[in-house]
Amino acid sequence: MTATSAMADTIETTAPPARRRGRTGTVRIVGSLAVVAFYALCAAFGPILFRFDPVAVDTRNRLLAPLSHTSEGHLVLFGTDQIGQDLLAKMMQGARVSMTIGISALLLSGLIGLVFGILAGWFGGWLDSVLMRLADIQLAFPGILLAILIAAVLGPSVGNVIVVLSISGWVTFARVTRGQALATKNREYVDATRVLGARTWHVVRTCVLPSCRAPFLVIAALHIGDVILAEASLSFLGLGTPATTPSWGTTIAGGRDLLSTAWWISAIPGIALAVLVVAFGVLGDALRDRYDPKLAGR
Amino acid sequence: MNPMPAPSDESGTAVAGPPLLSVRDLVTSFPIRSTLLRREIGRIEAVAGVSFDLPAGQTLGIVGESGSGKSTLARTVVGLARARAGSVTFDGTDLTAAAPAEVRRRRRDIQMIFQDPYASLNPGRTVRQLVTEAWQIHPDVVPRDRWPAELAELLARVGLDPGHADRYPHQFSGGQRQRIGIARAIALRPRLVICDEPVSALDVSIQAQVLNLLRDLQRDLGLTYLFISHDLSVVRHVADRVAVLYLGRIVEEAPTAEIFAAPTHPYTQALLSAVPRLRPWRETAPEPIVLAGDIPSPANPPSGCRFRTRCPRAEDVCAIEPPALTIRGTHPAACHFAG
Amino acid sequence: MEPLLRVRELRVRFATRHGTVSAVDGVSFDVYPGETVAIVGESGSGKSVTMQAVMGLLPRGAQVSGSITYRGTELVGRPVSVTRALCGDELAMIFQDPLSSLNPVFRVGRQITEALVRRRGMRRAAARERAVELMTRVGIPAPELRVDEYPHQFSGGMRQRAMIAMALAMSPRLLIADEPTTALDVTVQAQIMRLLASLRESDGMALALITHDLGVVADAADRVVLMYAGRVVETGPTREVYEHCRHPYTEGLLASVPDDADVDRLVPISGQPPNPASLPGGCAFHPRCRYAIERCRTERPPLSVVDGHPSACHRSQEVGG
Repeated sequence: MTATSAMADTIETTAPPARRRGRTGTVRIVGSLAVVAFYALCAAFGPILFRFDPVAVDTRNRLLAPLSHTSEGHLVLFGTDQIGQDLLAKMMQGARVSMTIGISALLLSGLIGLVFGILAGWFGGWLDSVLMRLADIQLAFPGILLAILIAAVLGPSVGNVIVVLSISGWVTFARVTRGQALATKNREYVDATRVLGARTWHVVRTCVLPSCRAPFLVIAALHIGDVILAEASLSFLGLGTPATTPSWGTTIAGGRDLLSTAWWISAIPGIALAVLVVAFGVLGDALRDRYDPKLAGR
Repeated sequence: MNPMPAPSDESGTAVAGPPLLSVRDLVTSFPIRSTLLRREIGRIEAVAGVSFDLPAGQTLGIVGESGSGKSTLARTVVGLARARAGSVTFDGTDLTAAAPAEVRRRRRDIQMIFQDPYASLNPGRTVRQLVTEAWQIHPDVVPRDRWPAELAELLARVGLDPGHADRYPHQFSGGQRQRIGIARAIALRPRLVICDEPVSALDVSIQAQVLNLLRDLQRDLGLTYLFISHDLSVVRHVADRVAVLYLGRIVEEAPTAEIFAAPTHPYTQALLSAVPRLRPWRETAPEPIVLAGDIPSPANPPSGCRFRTRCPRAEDVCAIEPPALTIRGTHPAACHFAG
Repeated sequence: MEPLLRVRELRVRFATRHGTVSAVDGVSFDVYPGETVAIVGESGSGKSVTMQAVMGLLPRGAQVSGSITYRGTELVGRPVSVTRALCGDELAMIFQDPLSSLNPVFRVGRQITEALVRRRGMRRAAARERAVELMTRVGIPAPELRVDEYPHQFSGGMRQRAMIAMALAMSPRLLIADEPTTALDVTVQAQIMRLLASLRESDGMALALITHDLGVVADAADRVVLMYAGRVVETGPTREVYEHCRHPYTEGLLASVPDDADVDRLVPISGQPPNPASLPGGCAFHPRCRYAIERCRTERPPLSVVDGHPSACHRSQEVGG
C-alpha cells in the first residue's frame, strides 16, 4: 500500500474519484429530466388550467379530430373522444393518475425491497434463503401475469393498482440492497463502527443505507417506466384504475374500437406514454453509467 | 478532553495490582464448510490456546507473521470475533461469560486502531460525523452541547487541524487518516486500546509521527496498549513486553529488552535474525537463520510442537509432545530445548 | 565500464483535469552490470513511475522526455516494441503482488517458460523440464509436483519465487524488482532477498530494487538513489549515504526508523508528503525541512557533489555528519 502505488497516489491526489465521475451522461440526464419535468408540470398544473369532468358528456363535440374547433369555437389540440371530452384535458388528468401511481408503487416497492434486502443480506442465514427463493419464484413468473392475477382478485381501484405493482417490483430493489449489505458487511469500517459499540440498526443506517443511494436512484429511474407501462397495461385490460379516474391506460383502451375512424383517441396518449417511458429509460441508463457501471445489464 | 484516568506509573514496577486484561486459554476458531452443502467439515483454530496478562498502563506487543492468528486475537479481545473457549477478563469481568448488557458497557473501555486507514473509515462520512458517532452511540460520555468543543480538542490532540472537521476521509493523506482513526478510538476515553498494525500501511516518515503520537497519548491518558505487529523494530520501540505468536500459540514471552537480547525459542531467533538492520556494517550480526518453507495451514497444524516442521533443532519428541509455555531460563518459552 | 541502463533527465508527466502533473522531474542514474541499485522513496516519490518508464509500462497519455538508454539503445520516443524486444533476454521485472501478475488459469510451470516457448521456440516437454529446473533454483520445494499447480495453490512467498523463476527463464542482464518483498513476512522476505543476492552472484545479473524499506536497502544495495517528489535528492554508495547523509530528507528518513532500541522518541519528518499536483516552489522538501532557509523557498537546489556523493540541498554542508 505504502510506497508502491506512487502512480495511483498521483492520480488519487490530483483528481478525487467523487468528482471525476461527475461527467458522464450529463446531456442525457439533463435532456431526459427536462422531458420528465415537462410531464410532471402538465400533471400538476394541467388539470387546473383545463378543467376535466370525467362524467360530462358533450354530444355535439364528439370525435373531433386534432386541431379542430368545438361548437363553442375552442381549439381542441388533440381532438375529442366519443363522448366529447377534450383529449388534452383527459390526458393531463391521466398523467396525474399515472404518475401518482408510478411514484407511489415505486416508493412502496423500494421500501419493501430495502427491508427484505437488508434482512436477507445483513442477517443472512435461513432468512436470506427464504427471501431470495421467494424472489426467484416471483422472477420466474411473468410480472404482468402476476399483476393481472392479483388485480383480478382485488378489483380495480387506484390503491389496489399501487399494491399490485409494488408486489411485482420489489425484487430488483431487494437484490441490490442485499448485494450492498453483503458487500458492506465485511468492510473494515463496519468493524470500526462496531467496536465503538454501535448496534446493528446504527451500522445499517450509517454504513449500508448510504451505499444503496446511488444504485437505488438508477433502478428507480429504470423501473418507473416499467411501472407506468404496467399500470397502463392493467388499465387497458380493465383491471387498473376505474373509468372515473382515467389513466392513460383507460384512455387508450377507450379508443380501441374506434381506431379506424378516430385514431387519435388511442394513438396520442400512446405516444405520450411511449415518450415518457423512453425518457425514464434514458435517464436510468445515464444515471447507471454515471454512478455504477457495474450495474449494467440489470 | 476531560480528565482521563490517572496516568500509570511510568516505570511500571511499583503498581502490581491485578492485570487490566487477562486472557486465559483463548481459542477462536472458524468453521470450514464444504463447498456443496455448506456443512461444517472442520474448524480452523486461528487462536489455539493463548494466555497472557496485560497490566494497566503498559504495552504488550504481539508479534507474528501472517497466519499466526495475531489479528484474530485482536478481534476476539475487542469482540469482533467470538471466543470458542477460554476467557478474556477485562478489569475483573470475564467478557466471554458476562451478561450482554454488562459486556457492552465494558467494551466501551476497549477500543481499536485498525491497520488500513483507507478501509477503516466510512468514505461517506465527514471527520466530524466519524468522531461524534462514538458519542452518539454512547450518549452519556459527552453531552451534545459539548460535542464541538470536545471534537476540536480531540482533533488537536491527535495532530489534526480542527478546522478540517467537515472534510471527508479521501481529502486526507494516509497518515492523517490514521490520526482520524486514532481520534475515533480514544473518543470514548477507553482504558485499553488494541492497535492492530497501526503503522504498517504508512510511509516510514509518517510511521514515526504516529508512533510518537501513540506514545504521547499513552503517557497523557494512561492508556494500555495491546500492540499487534509483524514489524519487530516497531514493536521493540513501543512495547514493554513482547509475546511471539506462531500458528495460534504463543511461543515465547518476555520483557522487550530481554527477548531482543536473548531469544530462547528457535522461531524467535529466526524471526529476529531475519529483520534487516538499518546499518548492518556497524554490528557483527550472527549468521542469519533462514527458515525453510512457509507457515503451515492452521487448518491442519503439525502434531506436537507446531513449529517443528520448520525448526532447525527439531527432534523426535517435538512431533509427539507439544511443549508448554513455561519459564525456561529467564522467561516463558514453548520449546523443549529452550533456556 | 559502460552502464547497462543509463537514465538522464527523465521527465514523466500525466495530463489530469487539474493540469499536468509531473510525477518524475529530471531523474538521472546509472545501473552498471552486476550491481544492485536501490531506488528509494515514499508514496508519490516517483520511484515506481521511473521504472515503469524504463519498462514501457506507463499508462497511455503519459508524456516522457529525457533519455533512457539500455546498452546504448535509446528507449524514449521509440515505439514500445523496442522495449518489448529487450524484455526477457535483457530486462525482466518482478512486482510487489505476484498474484496479480500471474495468470490464474494457467499452470505455474507453463507460465514460467511461456517466453521460452513463444520466443525461442522451445518445445513444451523441454520447457516443462526447464521450468522444474528453474523452480529448483529459486527454492520451490517439490518442483516436479508444483510445476503443474495453479497460482492460487501457492503461498505468497512461493508465488514471488515463481515470479522470479519466470523472470530468470531468459537469463536477463537486469532485473527490476518493484517492492518484491513488501507483501511478504520478514522470514520470507529474508529468503527472497537471499535468493536474489545469490542469483546476482551466480549469474552476474544487475538488480534495480525499488523499495521504501531502508533496512532491505542497507542489506542488499551497492548504491542507493533517494527520491522525493519526483526528483533525486541524494545518491551514492549505500554505506556512505547512510553514514554521511547530505540531505535533510535522508537524515529524516533514517531517524524515523525505529532501529535503535535505546532511542526513546523517534525524530520523524514533520508534515505530510506533498501533492504531486501542487508541489511547493523551490526545494519541494522545504515545508518539512528543519534546515530550510529563505533561499530554499525560491531556488531549487541542483544535484551536486558535496563530500563524496551528490545531494540536492542548499545546506548539505550542515546536514548529517
